[in-house]
Amino acid sequence: MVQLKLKRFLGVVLVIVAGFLLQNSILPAIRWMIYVPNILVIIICAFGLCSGPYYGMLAGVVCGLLMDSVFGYRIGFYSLVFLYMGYLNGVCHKYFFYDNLLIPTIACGLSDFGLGCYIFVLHFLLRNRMNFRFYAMNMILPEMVFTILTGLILFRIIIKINAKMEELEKRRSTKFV
Amino acid sequence: MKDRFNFRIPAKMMLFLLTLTFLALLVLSFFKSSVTDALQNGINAAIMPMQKGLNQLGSQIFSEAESLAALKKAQEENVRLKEQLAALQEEKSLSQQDKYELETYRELFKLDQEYSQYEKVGARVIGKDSGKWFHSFLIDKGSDDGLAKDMVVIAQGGLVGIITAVGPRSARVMSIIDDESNITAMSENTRESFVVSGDLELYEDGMLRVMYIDKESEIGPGDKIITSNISSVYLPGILIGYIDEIAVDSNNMTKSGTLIPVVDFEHLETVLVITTLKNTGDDIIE
Repeated sequence: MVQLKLKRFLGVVLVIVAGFLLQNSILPAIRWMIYVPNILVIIICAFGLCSGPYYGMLAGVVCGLLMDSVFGYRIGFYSLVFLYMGYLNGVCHKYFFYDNLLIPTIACGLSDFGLGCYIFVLHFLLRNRMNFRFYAMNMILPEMVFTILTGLILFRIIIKINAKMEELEKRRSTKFV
Repeated sequence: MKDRFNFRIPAKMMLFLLTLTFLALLVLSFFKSSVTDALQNGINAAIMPMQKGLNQLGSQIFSEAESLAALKKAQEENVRLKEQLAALQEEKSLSQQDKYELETYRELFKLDQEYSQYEKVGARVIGKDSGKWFHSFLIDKGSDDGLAKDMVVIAQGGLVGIITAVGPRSARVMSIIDDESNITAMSENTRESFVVSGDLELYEDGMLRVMYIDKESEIGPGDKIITSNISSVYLPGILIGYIDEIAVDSNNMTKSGTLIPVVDFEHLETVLVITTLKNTGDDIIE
């Protein structure tokens, strides 16, 4: 049982590292990409919705630690917000059906919007940058649209990977019991 | 087997525990950063080589398509540059005379602090904070190559930013266009000091904010702005950009305005790191 969980854990970490590299090393190298979709948010939403709060939190913590250590200034800033994002998406697991992409799209949009507001409040509002309208129109909403559009493609892939991992887990567990 | 994961701790409890952990780490990083630094460096070291390779791959694939589109632009530019060349050649002969004069003066004052004489290390940009909120990026050199925190980064003849964190094989640079960046700068002509700070709202138009200029000052549009000699971290005399416009503030005491940086921050691929740290006078004992 421990080995199976470890494999699933490694699967989640691998998907996240791939997404992180895509988001921060490949996409920014393309010059005409003005807005880069937040792929980590998509991954957290997908794992949370597919497998519930535990895997949502796991994905959130891994993403958060990655962002904090590579781009953050303090460990914990991204970790906390991603942790809650994973948990809240995980709670919505019961509304999620494999053939319907409406819920993931809404969840992903809301999550990215929430992340934008979190960064705005803690990094900008607290330093007396009050013009929320500007930040919403130029930072939060464009990124949200790009994230949702990318999500429509990525959700199917991540859901498939997740189903594969679950299937593998079930098969193994019946074999050994 | 209804509960697929067989966790002993309920999800809410887990959330609470993890929240506490991260809050503790957050507080810890303010007081004793060595612990959190070790964690950050470990994760960084694992992810760095992958970033380096993939960033090169990404730019290679898309540079092909871009080069075709760039060709037409280059032809137009060629005509313009030829005109510029003629003007520059004349300027060069003039400046050569000035240079001779300058060298005599410099020898006279032993003023060897021009930034052409600082020791520099070249580095590649290998990753970028993808959101539009922060303007920091990663370079592929670190403490193993002699880099340290607070070293100044330049490119294209102008100031790019400053190293805010350094790992053994990589370093993070905060650009001067970041909203949290503040630099003490001065005008090359009038030698008055003031502050240049990044502002996301102004950067939408490619500009930085200049603040706290004395009301009586004669700084005006087109003035060359360099880093000040009294800045606490930035080495003096590095070109930042040119003043765009200046107006008196509503307090009627100071002036503020906008500045156009010389560096094209969107298309940075290689940068130079000055490995000389500024002497801040910390060795003075009262």
